[in-house]
Amino acid sequence: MNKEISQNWITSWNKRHSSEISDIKETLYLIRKSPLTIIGLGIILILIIVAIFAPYIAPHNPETMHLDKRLALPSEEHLLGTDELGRDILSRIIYGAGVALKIMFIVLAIDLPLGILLGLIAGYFGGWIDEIIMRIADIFMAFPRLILAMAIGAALGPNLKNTMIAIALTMWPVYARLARGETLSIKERTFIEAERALGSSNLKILIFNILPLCFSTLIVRATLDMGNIIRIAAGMSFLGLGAQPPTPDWGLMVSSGRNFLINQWWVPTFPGFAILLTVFGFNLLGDGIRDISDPHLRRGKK
Amino acid sequence: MLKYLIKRLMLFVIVIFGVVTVTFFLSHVIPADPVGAILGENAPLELVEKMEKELGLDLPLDQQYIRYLKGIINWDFGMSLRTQRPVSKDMRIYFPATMELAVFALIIAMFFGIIIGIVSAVKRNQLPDNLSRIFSLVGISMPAFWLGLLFILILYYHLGLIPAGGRLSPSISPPPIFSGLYLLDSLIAGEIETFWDALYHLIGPGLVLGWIQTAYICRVTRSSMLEVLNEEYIRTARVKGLKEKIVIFRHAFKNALIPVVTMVGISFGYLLEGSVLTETVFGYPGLGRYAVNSFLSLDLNSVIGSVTLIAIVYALSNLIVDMLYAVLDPRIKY
Amino acid sequence: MVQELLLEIKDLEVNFYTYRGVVKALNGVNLKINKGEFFGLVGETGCGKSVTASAVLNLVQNPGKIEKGEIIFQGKELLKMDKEEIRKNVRGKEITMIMQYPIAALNPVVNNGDQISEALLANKNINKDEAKKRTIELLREVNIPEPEKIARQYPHQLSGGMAQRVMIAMMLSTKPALLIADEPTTALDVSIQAQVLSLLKDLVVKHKTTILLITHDLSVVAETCDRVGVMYAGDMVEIGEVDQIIHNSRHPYTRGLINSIPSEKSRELIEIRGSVPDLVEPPTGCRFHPRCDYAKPICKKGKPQMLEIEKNHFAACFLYEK
Repeated sequence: MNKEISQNWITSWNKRHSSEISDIKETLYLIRKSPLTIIGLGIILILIIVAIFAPYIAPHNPETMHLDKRLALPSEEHLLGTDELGRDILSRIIYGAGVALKIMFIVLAIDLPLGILLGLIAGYFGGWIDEIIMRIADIFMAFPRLILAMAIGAALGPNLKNTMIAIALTMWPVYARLARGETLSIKERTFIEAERALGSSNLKILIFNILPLCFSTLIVRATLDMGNIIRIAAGMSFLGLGAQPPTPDWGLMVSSGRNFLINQWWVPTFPGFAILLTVFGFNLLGDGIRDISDPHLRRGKK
Repeated sequence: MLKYLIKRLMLFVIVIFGVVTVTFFLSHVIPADPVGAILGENAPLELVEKMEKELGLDLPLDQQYIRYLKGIINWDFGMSLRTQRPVSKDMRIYFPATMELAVFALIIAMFFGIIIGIVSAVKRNQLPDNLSRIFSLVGISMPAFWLGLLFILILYYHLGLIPAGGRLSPSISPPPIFSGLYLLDSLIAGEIETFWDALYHLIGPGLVLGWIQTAYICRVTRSSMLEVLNEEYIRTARVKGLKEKIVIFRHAFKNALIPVVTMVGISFGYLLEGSVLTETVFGYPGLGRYAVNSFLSLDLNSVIGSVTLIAIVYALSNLIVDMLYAVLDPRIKY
Repeated sequence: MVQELLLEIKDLEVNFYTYRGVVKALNGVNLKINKGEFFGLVGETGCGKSVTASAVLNLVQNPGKIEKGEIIFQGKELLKMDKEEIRKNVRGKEITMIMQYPIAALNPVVNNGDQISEALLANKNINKDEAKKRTIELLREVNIPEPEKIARQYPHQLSGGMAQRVMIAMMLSTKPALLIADEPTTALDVSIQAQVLSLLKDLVVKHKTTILLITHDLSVVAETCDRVGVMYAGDMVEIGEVDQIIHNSRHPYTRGLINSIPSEKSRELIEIRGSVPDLVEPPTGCRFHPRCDYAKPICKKGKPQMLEIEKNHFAACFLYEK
C-alpha cells in the first residue's frame, strides 16, 4: 500500500514539474554536448583542488630559499626549476593558485552585492536617484579598467588588499547596470502590481520578487568576468602595484623573473603560463554557461 | 537625430568633468603623504615645505581643486619630478607613440577579426569555426605582458625577427616632427629607412596587442553574425534568390555591424590598457610606459596628466562610437 | 478549363536532427497544385506546412534534411537540380514567398524601395533606374499611398499591414509562377487581414500567379481558396475543392477542425480530444489514430494512402479503404 502511494506521488511530482525537469535535462544535454564547457569546468575544478590542498601537493615550501640552487634548470627535484632566490617554482605556482582564487572571490564578493544593491535601487526608484547612480557609474566606466585600477591602487598604496578594492571599484558599474536593466523590465510586470495591491512594502518586493529574477543574469556575467579579474590582478602585480614579495603571486613572479628571461626562461614563463591556463579555463566555462543560457539555443524544433 | 547627438555630447562633458574630479580625489585627497612618499621620511623641513607649496598642498582643499581645474583647462599639469620637464611636454612626446601603436594594432585587429569572425559564423561548428574559437579564446585569456615576454624570447632572441624594443634603432634618428607618428612623418619627409625601422619596431608590441584585440573583435563579429543570420529578413533575402555572398555581406553583416562597432570602440580602451603593459615589456616610449613610471615613482603631476589624458581619449572614442550608431542604425531616433 | 499541373510533391520526407532526437517532420507528403489556382494548406502549428514550403524553395536548413521524395515544378525535378540553378532561376524568379511577420522579414537598415528593387535587379535584366520606376509602380499596385515617400522610408516606420504590402510588392515584382504565402495575415489585425487577402486575390487574377496559402485558419481558407489540403502531424490527410472540404469533409481530423469552429447555432465549444503528437516518437500507422473516434486496429499498423472519395476529393483514411 505504501509503495503504491509513494509511486503515485513520484509520478505526479514528475508530471507537475515536467517543464523544470525537461529544462534540467536540456541543460545537462547541452553541457554534455559542449566539450569546451567540460574542459573549462575541469580546469577550474583542478585549480580549486590545487588551491585548497596546496600544502599537501606542493613538493617544497614556497618560501624556502635554496641560495645554492638559484636559477636552477628544471630537474627531478625542482620540476619547474628554481627562481632567483632559489625557491621552487612549481610549489610557488601551486600556492599561487590560492592567491589568484582569493583575489577573484573577494572582488566578486564586493562587486556583486554592491552592484546589485545600487542597480536595484536605481532601477526601482528611478528619478534622480537613478540619474545620480548611473552618472557615477558612467564616470567609473569612463576609465579603462586597468588604468583606473592602477590609479586607485597607487593612491591607496601598492598592496594586494588595495588591488582587490581597486579592481572591485572598476567593475561594479557593470553589475549595477545589469541589475538596473533587469529591475526596469521586471518592475512593469503585472505580478509586481499584484504584490503592491496586496500591500507588500517596497523593500519586500525588491528582495523577494525582483532580486531572485536578476540573479541568473548577474551570475552569468560574473562567470564571464572571473577570468578578467585574475588577468587584471596579474597585470597589477606585474607592474608592482599589487602583490608584494614574498607572496607567491603569479604576476609578481613573472615580473621578478623578467630579468632572467633570456638565459633562464623558465623563471618568468611558467608562472605566466599558469595565468594563461587559469584565465582560459574560466573563459571556457563562462562561454559555455553563456551559450547554454542563451534562449536562442533553447528553441525547440520548428 | 540632432537631439541625440547634443544629448550625447552633454553626457561626454559631464563624464569628463567627473573623470577629472575623480582623478583629483585620487591624487589629492586619498594619498596620505605624497611629499613624504616622494622625498622620503627624513627630508629636511624647508624642502618639504617647498614641495608642499609647489604641489599646492598647503592650500585648503577647495582651492586646490580650483587650481587643479584651472591647470587642466590650460592643459598645464605642472612639472614632472621624475623627468624634470613639464608634464604636458612629456605627453606631447609620448602620446603620439602610443597612438601609433594603438592604431597599428587596431587596423590589424579589425581586418583579421572581422574576416575570421564572419567566416566562423558562416561555417558554424565546422573546422574553421572551431579553430578560430579556440584561437580567440586564447587571445582574450592571454596576459599581454607574458605574451610580450614570449615574443621577445622567441622572436627576438632565438629567431632574430624583431628588435629588442624601443621605437627606433639607436643609429636612426627620429623624423622631423609633423604629427608625432613616426610612420607618417618619415613618409612625409621622404626618409624611407626611418619608415622601415619604425615599422620594424612596431611589429613586436603591435602583434601582441593586435592578437589580443583580434580575439575580441572576432568573437563579437561571430556572435553578432550568428544572431543576425537567424533573423527573418535573412530568409527573405534568400527567398529573393540572392547570391549567398550578398546575403552575408549586404544583409547579414550590415546588421551585425553595430555590436562590432561598439567592440571596436571598447577595443580602443583595451588597447590603451594593453599599451601600459606592452610598452613596459618592450621598452616602447609611449604614454603607457610613462604612466607606469609615474605611478611607481609617485610623480603626482605626471600621474594626473597621464590618467586624465587616457580617460579623455577613451571617452572620446566612446563618443565617436555612439555617434556612429546613429548613422548606422536608422532605427535610432531620439 | 484544362488544368495544367504547376507543382507536384510526391512522398516528401523531411527530418530534423535535434537534441531531443530525430523529428520526423514530413512523413511522405503528396500534393498537386494546378496553374492559376489559389491553394490553401491548412493545419495546426507544427504539422509541417511551413517545412513543406521551405522544401519547395530548397531552403530547408540545418538541422533539417530532405530524406526522400520528389518536387516537380514546371516539369522540372527540383530535388535533382543543382542548388545554384535553383537559386538563380527558380527562387525569387519563379517561386517566391511572403511570411508571417512582415516587419521582421524586412532588412532594418535598407530602405523599403531598395529592398524591392533588389529583387528585380537580381532576377530580371533591367538597370537601376528602371528598377526604381518599377518599384514605385508596384507600390502603387498594392495600394500604398505616397509610394515615393514610403520607398525612401525604413521598415520600422511601417505598420504591419503596410509592411505586408511592401513584401507582396517585392515578391510579386518578378511575376513568379508560384507565390507561397506562409501565414501572411495571422499577425495582422482582423480588419487589415481582409484587406491584404483581397489584395492578394486581385493581384493573382491580374498577374495569373498561382498562390499556395499556408494557414491554420479555416475561415480564411473558406473565403479565398479554390482547393484545400489538410495536414496533420507531417501527413497530408485530405485534399479537395474548398466546398468539398468545408461541407463534405471526410477525414475525421478535418471533420474535427470544421466542427471546432464556433458557429451561431451551437454555443458549445467542441474540441478534438487529445493533443498534437511528439514527432520524435510519432504514433505508428496513421498518426491521428490516438485522437480518432473511428479508429480501428488497422489504423495502428499501416499508413493510409490517399483515396479518391469523389471527383477531385481525396482522403487518407482506412475508413474509405475497400
